[in-house]
Amino acid sequence: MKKILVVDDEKDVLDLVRRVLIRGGFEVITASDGKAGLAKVYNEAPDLMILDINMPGMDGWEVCRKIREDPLYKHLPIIMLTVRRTKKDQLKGLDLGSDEYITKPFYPTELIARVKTVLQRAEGGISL
Amino acid sequence: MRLKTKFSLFAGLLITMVLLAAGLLFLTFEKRHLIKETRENQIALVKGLVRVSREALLRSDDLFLINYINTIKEGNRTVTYVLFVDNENRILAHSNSQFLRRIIKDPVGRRAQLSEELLIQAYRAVSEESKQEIIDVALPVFLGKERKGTARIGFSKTVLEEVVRGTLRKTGRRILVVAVGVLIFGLMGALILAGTMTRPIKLLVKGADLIGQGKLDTKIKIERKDELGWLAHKFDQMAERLKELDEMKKDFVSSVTHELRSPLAAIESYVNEMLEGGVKEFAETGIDDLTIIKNNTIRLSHFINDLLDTAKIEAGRIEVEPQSFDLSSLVTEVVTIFMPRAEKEKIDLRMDLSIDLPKVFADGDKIRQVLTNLISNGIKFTSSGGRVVISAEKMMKNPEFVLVKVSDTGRGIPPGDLDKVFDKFHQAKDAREKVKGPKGTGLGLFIVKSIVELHGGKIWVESKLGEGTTFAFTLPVKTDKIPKK
Repeated sequence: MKKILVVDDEKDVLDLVRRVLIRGGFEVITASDGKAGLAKVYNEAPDLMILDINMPGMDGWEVCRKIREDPLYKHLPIIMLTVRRTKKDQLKGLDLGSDEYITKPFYPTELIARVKTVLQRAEGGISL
Repeated sequence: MRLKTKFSLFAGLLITMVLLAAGLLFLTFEKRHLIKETRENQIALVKGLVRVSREALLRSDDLFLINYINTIKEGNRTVTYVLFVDNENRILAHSNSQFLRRIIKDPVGRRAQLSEELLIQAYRAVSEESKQEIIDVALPVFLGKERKGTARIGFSKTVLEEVVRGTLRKTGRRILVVAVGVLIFGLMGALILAGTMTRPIKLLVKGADLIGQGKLDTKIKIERKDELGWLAHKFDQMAERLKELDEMKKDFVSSVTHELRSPLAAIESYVNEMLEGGVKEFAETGIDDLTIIKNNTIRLSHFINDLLDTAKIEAGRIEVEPQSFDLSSLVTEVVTIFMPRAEKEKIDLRMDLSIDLPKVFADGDKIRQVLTNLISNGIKFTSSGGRVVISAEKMMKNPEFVLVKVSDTGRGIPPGDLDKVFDKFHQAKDAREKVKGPKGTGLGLFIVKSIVELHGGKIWVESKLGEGTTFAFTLPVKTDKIPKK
């Protein structure tokens, strides 16, 4: 079973994403801020991370940058899940090396579909 | 007119006036000096004549005297006549030889004849070929104690004045040359000085223009230790403050956007989940989801209410409807509402109300808002095992007020942020980190302060990092402390 890490400071969103992913057949771990999220990447080696951007302390941009700079974890697939919906933010997310950019509010079925696509792509060795 | 021109003109005018005054003063002194010097020369000349006359008498040498007289006459163009008379006023020697042996009878001559000492007389000669004013200087000539005659020299006043005027004119011309030089240098100096003053002003104008265009990083680079330097420094400070405000505004906008979007996004995502899940899913999680949707709606409403309150306060349109009410029961009511949350977070929420607490005269709804906000903050910033205490008592110093305190054992506020906590949109830099529940928008304490002050009360905060924070405010007991609108 693939393990997915969800990082979001909004508890309601965290709960919903967890529920949706479990229903989609994934193992889910969560963190409610950037630092805790980073720690879970190092300690629990997830197969994919869903990352919010606006968080207290270390924000999603910073977490993404740190992971992409880390030789051990730089290939970890990352999906941004955020209320920021401007083109500029989407481009920034892709520039920082995220694999997918999904805006909130989201559709649960779509989220599962995208997670699966990103995982397949990562397994196939195709990276963006 | 530009400042530089004005300053230069003023300086020029000032220099001109000073030079004019100095020049006139100098010329007056010069004239006085010249007149005095001329008189001394005249007397010296007559004294010389007396000496030579005496010599001539002793030697009985008329020629010697006549030669001397001619020398005087020819050597000095102001001299009209030179003569020597005996005691009977008979001319023994004269610069004009045709007057020899004649006896002088005019009043000037008579007075000179009788004088025993230096005598200077001015008169108008009419008998001569030209009518002119003459100054006659006469000295008696003594041999031993015996008066032998009188030596006289007549000076033409007209020629004398001409000489003096000529000298003065020459001096005047020199003064003028110097004055023009000074004026030119002065004007140049004034222009340079004005330039050094207007240059920084121009820089300020340019800086103000740039800031007006929104370039808030603009710095006026003037390093001067005078008023203009201070002005530039103050200007830079102002620009910095403006930048801070601008950043605060940007922070606020992004904070508002996030606070509006987050609950909306949660609501819509849950609605999507419910719609996609269908009836079977609804039976399992539907009620929970609806509760979450409801809570997010409430959060959104709270936030919008805060925004509207702030807008009302800003516009000065918020109104309080004060009436006498029992503060103890209001505090109890609010604390009761927070009790479940405090219990859940293992925080000891307590009241400490004095028994003789008088009724306060205030707007109950608004005070409930104040208490709710402060208690909510206290719980939010206090970790499990901590304590939040709400106390109320009559003020010792001023019994017309009641003192209410909300103290927590939270992490405290950094000293640098203490004076800003009531500012709109301001939050202590790390206030957003490691805080339970939704992030604040930086409006709560601003609204609280405004409400307390509308009641005529005061609010302040005391805090020690790591030990806790106390918010204290006062409320009036009597009516006349409400500011009239």
